[in-house]
Amino acid sequence: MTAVDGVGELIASTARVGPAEPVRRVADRFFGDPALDALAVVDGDDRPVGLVTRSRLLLRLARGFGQELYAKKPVARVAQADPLAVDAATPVAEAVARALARPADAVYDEVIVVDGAGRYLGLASVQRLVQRQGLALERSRVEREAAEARAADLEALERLRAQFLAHTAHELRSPANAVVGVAELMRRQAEKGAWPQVAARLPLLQRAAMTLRSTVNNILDLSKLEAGRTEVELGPVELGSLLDDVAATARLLCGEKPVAVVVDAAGAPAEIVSDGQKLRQIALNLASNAAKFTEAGQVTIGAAAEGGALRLWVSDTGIGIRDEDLARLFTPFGQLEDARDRRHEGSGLGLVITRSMAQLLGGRVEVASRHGQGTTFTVTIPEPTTWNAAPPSDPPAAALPATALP
Amino acid sequence: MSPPRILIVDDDRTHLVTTQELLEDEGYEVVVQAGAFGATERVMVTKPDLVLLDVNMPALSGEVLLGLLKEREQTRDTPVVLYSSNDESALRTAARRLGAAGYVCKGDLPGLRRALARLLPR
Repeated sequence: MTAVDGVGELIASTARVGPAEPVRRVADRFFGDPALDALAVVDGDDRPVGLVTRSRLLLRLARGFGQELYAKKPVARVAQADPLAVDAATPVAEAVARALARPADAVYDEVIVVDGAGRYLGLASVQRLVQRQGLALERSRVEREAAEARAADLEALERLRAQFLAHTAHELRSPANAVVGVAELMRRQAEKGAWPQVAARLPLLQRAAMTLRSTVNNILDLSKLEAGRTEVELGPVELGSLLDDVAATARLLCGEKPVAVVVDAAGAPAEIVSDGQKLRQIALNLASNAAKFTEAGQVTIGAAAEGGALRLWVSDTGIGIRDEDLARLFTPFGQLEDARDRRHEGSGLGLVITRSMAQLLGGRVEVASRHGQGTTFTVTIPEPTTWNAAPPSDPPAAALPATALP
Repeated sequence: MSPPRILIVDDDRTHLVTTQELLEDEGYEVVVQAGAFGATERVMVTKPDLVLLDVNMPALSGEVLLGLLKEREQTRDTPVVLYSSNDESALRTAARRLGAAGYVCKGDLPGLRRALARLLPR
């Protein structure tokens, strides 16, 4: 039986000749068949006993008196005795190695292939053996490279996951520990009856609690978004109060920093139809970032009608974003190279979620920033066209025209 | 005798203020440094008896800063306690290897109190 990758597969010819065949008749066969490169000399028991190659035989006959000397002799006399014979199951690589180990003048002689009992099966050309081996090597190289690439991908993914977990853990623990610390501080102050100090620390506690809540929300939202379980729920949205709420949170996050948080809704419709929850979260995420990265100056939370779309923006006079960091903004923890050596605080989850939510609403997020001068994030959301998706508790008909964007 | 002086280095305002007030309440003298930059100079100027060093800081981490402190002759002998929100055994091992006198998880007030009592006998 022939092994899958054995030499047996590569038998190119089964040409054979008996040892007693006269040389002239053998030469005639070569003359009559230009494709015939070699003949195996095979005895009556199917044993290969020699090899005759076209080039060698014709060379011998062409030399001085060659014809006269050999024409009538049995082919066994001029054949190469003891030719290389390999079992059909021999791996190609091994057959090639053995063929190439022959003396220089015999290196390219055909290889005789025999079965397990040593009986002649056919001839294989060294050229084809080498070709096949090259293909096999090439294939294994390609496969190896593919496997290495896969392993590297997995490793990178695993690294990213580990980093993600480390960041997530830190982003959750940090505000949680702050809550514990501030609460302990307030307890001590309360025990002493130092009520003004207790009151003065309350915003700190509130900020830490809000940061914690927003990180928890972001993580839960992200897993929901990734699982594709986030649905758009359209309804009437009062833009003014939404922006005011977000601004109030941003002010709290700015704390004692000299940062003015202002709302610019002059060009915005009073009410639109959209997913209020998602709009709120988009604005909140952008405003939280602005508050975090702005040490002094102003954070503006704005909305305006633009064409048929709603433009929602948050601009700040904060530290800005380096050009080389802009590309990584929208990947989870993308702005962080390593858990313990990072350029900015924060998980970066907010922006990923902001973009996903904007996309769910059919919109897009753009960022313009100058390092050291400030950043503006703009979310553009087209007018919702799926009016039917509005909840059954429709707003009063009179309010409807106002919800439509110009 | 004046109370031991502790320098807290942390980029997080809330943690910085909270820890400062808690330690002051415990009777320590506390100086603070917001962020890692300039922290080594601050150690040389304020000459604290102990440095409480946050690990996760932008651009210059507590571990790197610890290395810098241990390299300089003027700051080498000041005990440094790493102070992080993460409770990782890898960090604890790294802290020991880098020459930190201790590692305390943020929010673990009893742990912080024990570490300080051990390193700053009064």
